[in-house]
Amino acid sequence: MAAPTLVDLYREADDPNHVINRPRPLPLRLLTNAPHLYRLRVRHQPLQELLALVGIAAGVALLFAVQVATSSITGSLEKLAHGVTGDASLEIAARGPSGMDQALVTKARALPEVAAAAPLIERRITIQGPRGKAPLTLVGVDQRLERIGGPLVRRFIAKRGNINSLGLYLTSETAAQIGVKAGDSLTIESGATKRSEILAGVLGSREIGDLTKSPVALAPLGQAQRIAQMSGHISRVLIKPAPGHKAQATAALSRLTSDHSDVRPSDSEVKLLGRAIQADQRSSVIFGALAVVIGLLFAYNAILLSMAFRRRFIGYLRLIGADRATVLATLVFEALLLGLVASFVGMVLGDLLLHVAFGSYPRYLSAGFTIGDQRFVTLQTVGIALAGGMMATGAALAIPAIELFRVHAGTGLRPVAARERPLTRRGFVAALLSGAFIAAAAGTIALLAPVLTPACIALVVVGVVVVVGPLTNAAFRLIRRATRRRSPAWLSLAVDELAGARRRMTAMALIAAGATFAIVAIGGARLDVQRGTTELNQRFFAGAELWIFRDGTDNAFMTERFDPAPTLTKLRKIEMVGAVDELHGVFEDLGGYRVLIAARPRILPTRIASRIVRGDVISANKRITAGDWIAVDDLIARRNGAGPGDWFALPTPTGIKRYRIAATITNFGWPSGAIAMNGRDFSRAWADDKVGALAVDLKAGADPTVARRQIQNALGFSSALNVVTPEQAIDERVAIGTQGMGRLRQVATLTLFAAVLAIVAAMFAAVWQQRAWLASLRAIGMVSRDLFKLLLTQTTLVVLLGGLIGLVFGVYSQLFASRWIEYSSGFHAPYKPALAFGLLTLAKAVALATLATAVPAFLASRVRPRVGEAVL
Amino acid sequence: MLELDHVTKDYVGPGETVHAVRDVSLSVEPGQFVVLLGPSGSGKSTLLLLAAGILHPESGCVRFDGQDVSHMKDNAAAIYRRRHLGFVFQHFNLMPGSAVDNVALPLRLESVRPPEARERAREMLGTVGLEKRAEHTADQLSGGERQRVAIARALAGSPRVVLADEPTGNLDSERGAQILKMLHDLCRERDIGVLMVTHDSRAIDFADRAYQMKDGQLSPINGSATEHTGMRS
Repeated sequence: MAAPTLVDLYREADDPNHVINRPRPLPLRLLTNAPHLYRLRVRHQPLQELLALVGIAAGVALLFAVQVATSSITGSLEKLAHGVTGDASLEIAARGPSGMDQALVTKARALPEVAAAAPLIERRITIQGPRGKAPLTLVGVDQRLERIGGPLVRRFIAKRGNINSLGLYLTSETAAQIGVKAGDSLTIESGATKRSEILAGVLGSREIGDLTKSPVALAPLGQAQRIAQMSGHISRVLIKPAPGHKAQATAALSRLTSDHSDVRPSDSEVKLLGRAIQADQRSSVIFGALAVVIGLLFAYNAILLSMAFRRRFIGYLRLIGADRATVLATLVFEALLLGLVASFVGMVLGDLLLHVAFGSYPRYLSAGFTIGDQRFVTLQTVGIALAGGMMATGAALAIPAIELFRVHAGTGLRPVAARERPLTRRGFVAALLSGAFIAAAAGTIALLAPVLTPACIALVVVGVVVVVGPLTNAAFRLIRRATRRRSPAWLSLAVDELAGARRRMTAMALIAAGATFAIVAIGGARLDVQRGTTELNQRFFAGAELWIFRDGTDNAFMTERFDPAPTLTKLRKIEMVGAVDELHGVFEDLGGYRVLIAARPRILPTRIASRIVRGDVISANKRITAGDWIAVDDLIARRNGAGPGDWFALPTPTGIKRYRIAATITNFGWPSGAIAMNGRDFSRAWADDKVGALAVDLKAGADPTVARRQIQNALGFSSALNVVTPEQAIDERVAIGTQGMGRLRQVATLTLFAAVLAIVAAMFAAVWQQRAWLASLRAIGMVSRDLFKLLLTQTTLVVLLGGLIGLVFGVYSQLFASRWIEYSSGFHAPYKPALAFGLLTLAKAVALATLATAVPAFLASRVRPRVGEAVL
Repeated sequence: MLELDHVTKDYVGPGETVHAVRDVSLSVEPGQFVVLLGPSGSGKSTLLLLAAGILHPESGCVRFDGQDVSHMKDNAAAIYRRRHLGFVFQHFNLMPGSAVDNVALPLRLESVRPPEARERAREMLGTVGLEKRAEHTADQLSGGERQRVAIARALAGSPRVVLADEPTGNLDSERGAQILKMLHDLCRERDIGVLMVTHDSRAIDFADRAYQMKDGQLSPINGSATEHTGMRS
């Protein structure tokens, strides 16, 4: 069929009933045109779009992974708690590790306000099989829990008619981990002793679902009491109040316990854990959010890299009659699509990260709580990640969108590149002053209102954005001046082009600056925490030449107590041993927080004094030594509105005791806070002759290595106690203590990874954008080798200069980050500028970016000589 | 139809004012082929922008079918361009998509459904002899073919005037002549007015009227059909 003539076509065009003349409603037109116009643009700029997507997705991945990891900690405990407590809504919890008299169960059950009461024993133990050790919580129950207990204990009790014939049960995951099956013998370490037990059975996922990931062992109450050496004692009484009598039951139970135990809701454990990880959660989420800001920066730069074409594209659309609604619809469509896709990709990547890097929780928490490895992804987590991704995309597009929205239709008539105004001296000075002012303002605000520190760090990011362009441009102009006379043509061209292409150069330098900034600020703060933890442990463990306690991460705070008498008897027989100190460590629940109580009779005051936040060192030292004075974590004191000199009520197994605060201190590495007291005061209040550790001083001239061997031999094979030197103890404790900030390291590492990806994508995009220029250089006779060197040099220079600016601002922000961690978590984080770490990071970023650019640079250097281009 | 009436446009810069267009009057009637010749910086492109309603004159006015378009608001000017004008450029300004995508674009902006827009774009490509190249992208077309795609795109929206900015500037003489002829013939076939600014003096051979533009002022070129087409000045 012959093609219609134009006359035919125009005749149709004049026909009001012809299909092309039927107008469609505006929203429908916008809906169909926006995806079409977006597709047209992306077809021309796939790499820039990919770069934007990578940036946002990387940020969302980190935010998502951090959130899921932290929510899984409480989620797994909640699951376990429900698996045990079931229908019980109240509990009586013992104070102190020795527990309370089990006769309390019968008395509680006898109350008219109580429908059911069941005893429970919990004790941290370590089990050992052929494949290794596993720290877990031994849970002892009896038949009375069958009525009110959760699925875990019901399944356990349902195994046999008579619970006492059940024996010790493990979950299938724990059994597999240590390599035992039903009928095998395994070793249990509890207190100072090891004992052998037969594994009676295994609870698999068909019976208890993903509770198999919970680190627990189940045993009949009597057997558990024997293993835990708590004969006649229990840890908790689970209570089901009579219907409608919960308040009355609480009051009656409080009267019954006479303030020697805590009466509280049965989900208190979950709340206590929630508060214990609050600081970790807060800092993780804040640093995760910082990762999203950096992702936003990457995306913003990707959009900057694509602006020249976007301006021409939109200018052309405006010229041929696209109204502003169409332009706006296209931009909104892009933001929505990019945000959604990047958020989805980010969440998938985040899930992958959880498997690879964020899979484990900070193990020091196992000293105070029983946490499993289940993963919980909630709607809230998905919502926050999605909102973060959408907001980052919207923010990244906002400023370019304003510019694009204003693009003049005349831009479409002559497709010239966006005008690059040269940097004036005035502009340079203004940018520098603005950057310095923003940084100073952020510093001042953080100093005056520490609670606003995260916002101040974000403000410093704005400062980076303000100064990167002018500073790098000025640097390139200086380099150009310095290399003009002697440098080869390719080097002059590389520098000339960078000095001229301000927008593209700024975009790439910002990626390097943003990445270095984030890594140095986060990584530097982590180093500060690590240094603080090391200092704390060095001071603590330097107080004796040898230390005796049970090893393992679940005993990071020496809260696993043992009877010291047999050990002391053996120590007295060893010639080299001088004085021996008894140390105490217990967790007590105070005002909704699980607090570490540490007590030491002799060396404690000077050690405590070195960690004082408020109070006088010398008087505090004297007062604590004399007794009835304590040192309280500054966070706890602030929560209670107390300070040095004030009275402080402390719940103990012998009732509420009142002490005066000698000083406030940092938290000893336990996030819910710590209280330090004299060993005599502790023994009186806790009425307990067990200890958490023994500190051994050797006689003059004794060799610690020989003495250590002698003590370990004297303790014998059946002892669960370890004898360690201060150095060994410090190394182990620092490793455990810095685990809390382990996620910061992961976030910093992953930010570096994302930054390198972003730089590679940016270089691909930049090289692609330069293809006409490169082709024209080839046309005038430049050889491929020189073109390759030119492109690599550009990458190296841009990443180096951008990274240096990021390093300076990063070291500055590290100060705020460390102060924030100290303020919000109580961890000691003494600031020391992480210059060496920053320079190493910068070197890595430059090397990785240069290496990664080699491929696109090699391909681009072989571009066919050509002059001019035909597309927009 | 399109009428510029004593139009003046100045650009005010730091310390100096450039008089880009000075008291120019000009009309383009249906089917007329009007050519403006002149060196760079003479004000030719400014005149096109004024005719398109993109720039606003300091004095005088631009009318289309008697209606003042020189002081239209932004969206109204966009609709004016969409409904009545087509554009052909020196650098072709093709989109990254295929030829048919490019030609369909103005129709899609004018609310035509995508399948119909593409069908009509194919028909338009047929009239410029590119029906078999409809799915090719700009990179796969020669310079002359690209400019034919651009012409098809300019005409796709049924404009009444085509504004052409150096349409032969990037073509060799043979292809340039083909493009000039095509524009001229199309103009005749459908009664479309063409206002072309160019350096290419061969355009005078096709012009109904031709002018020389210098320092913002128009003067008729002898030998063109100016004398008998009623130039206003």
